[in-house]
Amino acid sequence: MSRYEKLIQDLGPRKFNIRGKLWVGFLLLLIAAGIVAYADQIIEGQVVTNMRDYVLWGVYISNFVFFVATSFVAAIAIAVLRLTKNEWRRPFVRLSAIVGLACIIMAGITIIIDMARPDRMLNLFVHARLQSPITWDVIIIPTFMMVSLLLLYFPLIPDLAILRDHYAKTKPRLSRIYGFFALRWNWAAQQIRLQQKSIYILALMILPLGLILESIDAYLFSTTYRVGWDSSNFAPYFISGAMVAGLGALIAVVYIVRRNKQLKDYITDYHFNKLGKLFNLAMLIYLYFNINEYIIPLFMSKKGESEHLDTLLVGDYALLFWLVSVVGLLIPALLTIFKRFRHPRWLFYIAVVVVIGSWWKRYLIVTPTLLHPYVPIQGVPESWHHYFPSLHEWLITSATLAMALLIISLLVRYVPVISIDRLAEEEGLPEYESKLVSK
Amino acid sequence: MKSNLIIHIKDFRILGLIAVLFFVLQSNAQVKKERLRIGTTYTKIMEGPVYLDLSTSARIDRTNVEVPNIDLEIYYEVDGEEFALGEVRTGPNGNARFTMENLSQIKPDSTGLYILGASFGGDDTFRRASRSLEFREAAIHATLQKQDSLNYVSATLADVALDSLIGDALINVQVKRMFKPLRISEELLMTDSNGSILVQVPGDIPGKDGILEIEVVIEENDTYGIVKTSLAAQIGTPIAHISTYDQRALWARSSRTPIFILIFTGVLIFGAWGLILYLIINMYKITKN
Repeated sequence: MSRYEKLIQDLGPRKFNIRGKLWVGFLLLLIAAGIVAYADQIIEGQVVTNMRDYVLWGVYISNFVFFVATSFVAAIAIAVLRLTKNEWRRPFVRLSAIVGLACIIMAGITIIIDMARPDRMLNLFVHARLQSPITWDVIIIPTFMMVSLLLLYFPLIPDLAILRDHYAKTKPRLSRIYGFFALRWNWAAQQIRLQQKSIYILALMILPLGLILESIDAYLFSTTYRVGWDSSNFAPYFISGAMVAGLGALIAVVYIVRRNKQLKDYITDYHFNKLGKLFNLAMLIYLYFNINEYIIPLFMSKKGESEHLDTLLVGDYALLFWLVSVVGLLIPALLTIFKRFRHPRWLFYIAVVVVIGSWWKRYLIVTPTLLHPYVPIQGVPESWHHYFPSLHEWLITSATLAMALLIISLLVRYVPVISIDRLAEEEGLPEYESKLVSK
Repeated sequence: MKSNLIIHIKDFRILGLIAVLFFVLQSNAQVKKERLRIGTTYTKIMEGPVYLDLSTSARIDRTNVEVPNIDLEIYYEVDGEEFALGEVRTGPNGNARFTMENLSQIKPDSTGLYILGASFGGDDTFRRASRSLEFREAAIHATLQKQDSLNYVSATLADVALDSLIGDALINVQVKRMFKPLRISEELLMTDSNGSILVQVPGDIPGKDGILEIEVVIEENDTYGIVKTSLAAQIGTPIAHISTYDQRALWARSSRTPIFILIFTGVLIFGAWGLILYLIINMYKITKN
């Protein structure tokens, strides 16, 4: 088998094994349960959730913020590392684009779920006020989604053409599908020039758009006069948090793909070590912003904010807060300083803990604040002073997470996770050279 | 055997009686209705309409509750004879208002006493009920006077039928406000033997363009009900009206978005989507190569 054939065999589409099928089945089951719960929510209204006049943004918005944060990974891995010419990024680039796209799609869907009346979505455009961060969000999410899609697609075109040619005789139907998306790619100089130019523009676009997306997400909270949200620190705090969540998700996905597809020759310990260093830097920056967000207000907070901080530090949410802060951030940040913990397996475990911590962190940002309004509502039922998601909310939220994982799983199944075209070019393989010469 | 049969028939008679008794009790229980309470208040606006404000309530399970959707028939009474005026239905809070253009629609008795009433014909839940109130017609005439650069409100209260002035009646002088009137007099004023009062209007009360709508009111007098007159005068302190309604501001409506936001957002939207369009055209060009 030639090296070129080996590349296609290693990186090209591979059928799900039994574990893969079970995994997809499990995800579909979660999605089906979520769809049933959502249908019931549409019929009965949001009374089926535990959101009331106090906590009007519950687990849906926490989940939305998590998805938006995680989608930022494409901006880091593709734009930042590309612009800083870090070549070790290559094995992660496509997977980061896949994770970013899946997350931004689910962020858009989650916000519609939270709207309760999706039939009124058009009102967001018809009655849009450009002064409102909600409107900015309505604008930036589809824009970022489109750019994320193109950022995955443009570098993929030559690989799709390789698969088209590869399966032309053995699997003509699959070849036709790849051919449809390959846009008649034949390695013509003009095509390569257009593709490279488009990728460069997308890499330039994704970074500012990512920063705007995360900032708007933060402004949704910080422009609202509430304890815990009313902070000028919020936009950089969200951006650094997004780096942590995004890189954590990327490391977890890369490790699983590397293991299942046996890609140890392509994604090496060296790559994980480098990615681990970047992850460590992101966590240290986020830790710094957390200190600004929680420790400094202890010295000068007024009554309302003190009560809120008490709830987090020693009150109802203390256990969750300290778990998220210490186990989900501080310990991983300290551990990944040492090379031993940047080994793939360790880094994977740490990344999983950090991602879970990141999800609950968003829950802590959203919920406790809403339970402490500056002007409490008089005479409300006691239950409104507490919030924990209902079964409907958990089922729907689990379904959105499952959908994101399903998108990632299916793309990893059908699309080369590392660019075959790029590797063939770098290694100067004769099959690749012949394609160029023949045109 | 026969005696046993007789006993048996007797038993049936007893059972039949118990059944009839139970049926009667049950029927009585079904027709037991609640007592409806009707509240009435009469208000006369000088040179304006006359109102009969009505409220319906009931005491159910030891709690007073307002009763909505009750049809009330309004009538007036002269010398023991009732004359229908119209009908009203109580709203969600159990309140209703019957309005007459003036008192000439109804007639008093020979002593000048008016009797207005409201009656309810009963329904499945409430028994029949009615309530009437008696009153005499009073008139207030208020004028504004200026003495030594100070403004005063002078008002005279008279009994219309007797054509006589009413002394020792309590009167409020107040400025009309959106939610609750602003009382001018520190305590209730009492008319003198000439049926008059005189009260100073402070010069620092704010009003739109300095105009104050001053009300002179007899509040729920046992004989005369509520009688109110008002006069508007430019004797207050003008309100400086500062409105940001038409300014381009962050809190303004969408058509008054600040220019810098329009430009910044517009550049971002058209810039980003312009590039996206360019990239889609590139895809088309790749296909054509």
